[in-house]
Amino acid sequence: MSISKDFDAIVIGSGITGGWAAKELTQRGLKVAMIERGRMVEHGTDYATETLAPWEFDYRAQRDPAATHEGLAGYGMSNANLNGASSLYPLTQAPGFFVAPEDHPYQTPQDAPFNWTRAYVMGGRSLVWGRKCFRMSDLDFTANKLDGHGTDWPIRYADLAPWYDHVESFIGVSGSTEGIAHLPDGQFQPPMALNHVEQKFKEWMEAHYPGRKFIPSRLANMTEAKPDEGRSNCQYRNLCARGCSFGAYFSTQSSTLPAAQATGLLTVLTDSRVVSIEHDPATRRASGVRMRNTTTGATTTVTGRTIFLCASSFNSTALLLQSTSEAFPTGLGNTSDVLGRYIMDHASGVQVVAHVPGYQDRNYTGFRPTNHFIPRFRNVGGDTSPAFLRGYGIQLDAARANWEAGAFGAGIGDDLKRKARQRGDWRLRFNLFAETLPDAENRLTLDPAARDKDGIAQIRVALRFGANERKLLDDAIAQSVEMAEGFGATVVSRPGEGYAIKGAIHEMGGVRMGRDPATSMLNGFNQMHAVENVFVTDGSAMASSAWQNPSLTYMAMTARAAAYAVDEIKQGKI
Amino acid sequence: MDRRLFLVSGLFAASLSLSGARAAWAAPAPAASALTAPQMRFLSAFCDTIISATDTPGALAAGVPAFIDRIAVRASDEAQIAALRTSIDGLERVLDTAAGRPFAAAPAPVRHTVLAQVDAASMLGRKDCRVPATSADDADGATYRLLKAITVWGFYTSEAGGSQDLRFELVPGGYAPDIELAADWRNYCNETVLGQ
Repeated sequence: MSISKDFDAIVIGSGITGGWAAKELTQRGLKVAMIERGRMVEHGTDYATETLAPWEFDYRAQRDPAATHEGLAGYGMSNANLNGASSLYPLTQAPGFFVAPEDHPYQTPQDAPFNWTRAYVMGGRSLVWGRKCFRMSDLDFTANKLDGHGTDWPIRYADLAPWYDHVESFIGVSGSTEGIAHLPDGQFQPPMALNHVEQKFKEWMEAHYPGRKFIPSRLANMTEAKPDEGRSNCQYRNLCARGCSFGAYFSTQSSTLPAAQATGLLTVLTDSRVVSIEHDPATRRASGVRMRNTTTGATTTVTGRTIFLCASSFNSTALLLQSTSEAFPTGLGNTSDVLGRYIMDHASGVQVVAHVPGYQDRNYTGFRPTNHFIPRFRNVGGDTSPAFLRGYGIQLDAARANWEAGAFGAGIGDDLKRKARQRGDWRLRFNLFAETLPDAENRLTLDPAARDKDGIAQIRVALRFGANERKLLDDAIAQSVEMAEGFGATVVSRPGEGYAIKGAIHEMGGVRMGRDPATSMLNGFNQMHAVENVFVTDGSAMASSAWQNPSLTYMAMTARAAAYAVDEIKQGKI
Repeated sequence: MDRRLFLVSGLFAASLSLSGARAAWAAPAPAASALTAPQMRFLSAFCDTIISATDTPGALAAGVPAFIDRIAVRASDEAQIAALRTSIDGLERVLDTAAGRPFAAAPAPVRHTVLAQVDAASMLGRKDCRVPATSADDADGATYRLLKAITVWGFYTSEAGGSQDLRFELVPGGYAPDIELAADWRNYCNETVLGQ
């Protein structure tokens, strides 16, 4: 039943943080097993849909209409689905990266639906992520302490700054140096440019709203190649979520996996789901993991001197809840009833769209894979907004409508063809992302009854966005409308009364860091207070959500924790 | 609500939700046609009029009628196919009456005149024929918009429509952020910007 393999470190998960843990630990000389529950996806050769034109897909890159069986009218017809990111389902003939939720069910309360978007393959969501790379600052690391929501972060910006440098330099981040204190600059390649209307909006907004800036996004799509690593600069295809054999955006496959493999110290185990972390009461350490082969159902034990848990926020939390023992009857390291609590996501899912008159002679070419960014301007830099705590960021672009606007409008025959060929009008699109306050009642638990196909308890996600989040988004909507109209645009779409707040696929928390073992699971090095050879370095460690896209911070924390862990091992402490 | 309309209208929003059955990309597709032979003749005339051949191919050369039939088969159960057939018969009667003869047999200019009138009426106050029908909509208008939408989609995502009428570029290679709009500009079929 069990084959014992001994490693210096076991990394659970192969996504954004798992890949980083594997790279850093192997490069520091450790023999590492990286365990992935999903199938292998080889860089390039397994990006099966990467080069397909719409007509080369069975259903023109839309969801298989048999998936819904809603008749002809239920068939999606939108270019928005072309890059694969919009669909949770495999794109026809080639297996996709996203899981079908019915294959991996989970529970939510009736009043709190939650859309849990996952990718159970080698590389995980590093293959399909939004690639935004924004640093957190001490505005964020001190927020919990200052307003009393959540527990104080055990780290400050100075602790992470060199690791942000380290990560950005390696993965390749395009962006601009702006000197914004609460969005620190980093190690950037040249930014992706603003188009004409974006530039005009920037000039107008920054002149009319002192303290607000509209800046190029900071993006893990490279504008300069890294030939030594076989990585090209971005080709402006905007098909990132199909995989990129140019290696132009950061993924495990393009970046951290080859670096780890080059050491000769990495063992990759795919199709292997870790079902528990084993605890040895004699040593009070984790001794290894029990994993289940997802094809054969066979169970294996792998032993390791240290464990890096990088399975994604909710799966890492769930795995700890599942890892019960006499010493930890409610989950590994759960001495404080904090495990599973304070889960977060960004409050989002809302958009303001405005029609921009004019600029008909201005155009652009290439399919830029990003919008740009208005960093937080509330409760910072002299702004005081007493109606709510903390702030939000706005991801914004201006774009001209593509062929769909002309083709699906009025007209037939020659008239239709002519309209389809022409550039449409300009639109501004404001996408809003607000910070979510930590709340103990936002909680992940194991369902007492429901099991998944491996016989493991399903998780129950209870995440409700609160009054502060709604006030933040109300303000973000009002400000977007005000700025759009001030610029001369006409709002054509905005959230209606009682709009639904959704997450942003930025799950965080559940295994939070903190200064006190009585109120947190991890110390400032992502090390479990109660089990010192376990490190949890994905989003579950987050003590607050901040208002920025979080993945860069996970990577920096992972690299920092790995360096610390190796030092501890060398000193014989763990 | 009219049952025929209900069954053809569907909900785009629902199709994007997570609640649907699993993607059955490995499942065998039924071989049967969703439409009768006379209906396929009507659909061909319809598609040919919505997007006619000009200096570039039209919907017929792009195989759009067969594409629509294939999607309809894949998307529908028996009741939905029956409802679709009923809806198409209803629209065909309207067009036959307007043409003063079977629409499918009418000369191209007559078909164009008739369909242009139906288009103007059906698209009045609307910017996008893909918007799902509601119970307040006229059933024949809803059928028209649905068939127009899938004709347009089928054409511009075909190789003929996407690469000969529009342009297809897999690897742009760069980004020019601010250029003059060329007089002979043609949109790219694979630009992933929302149309609205």
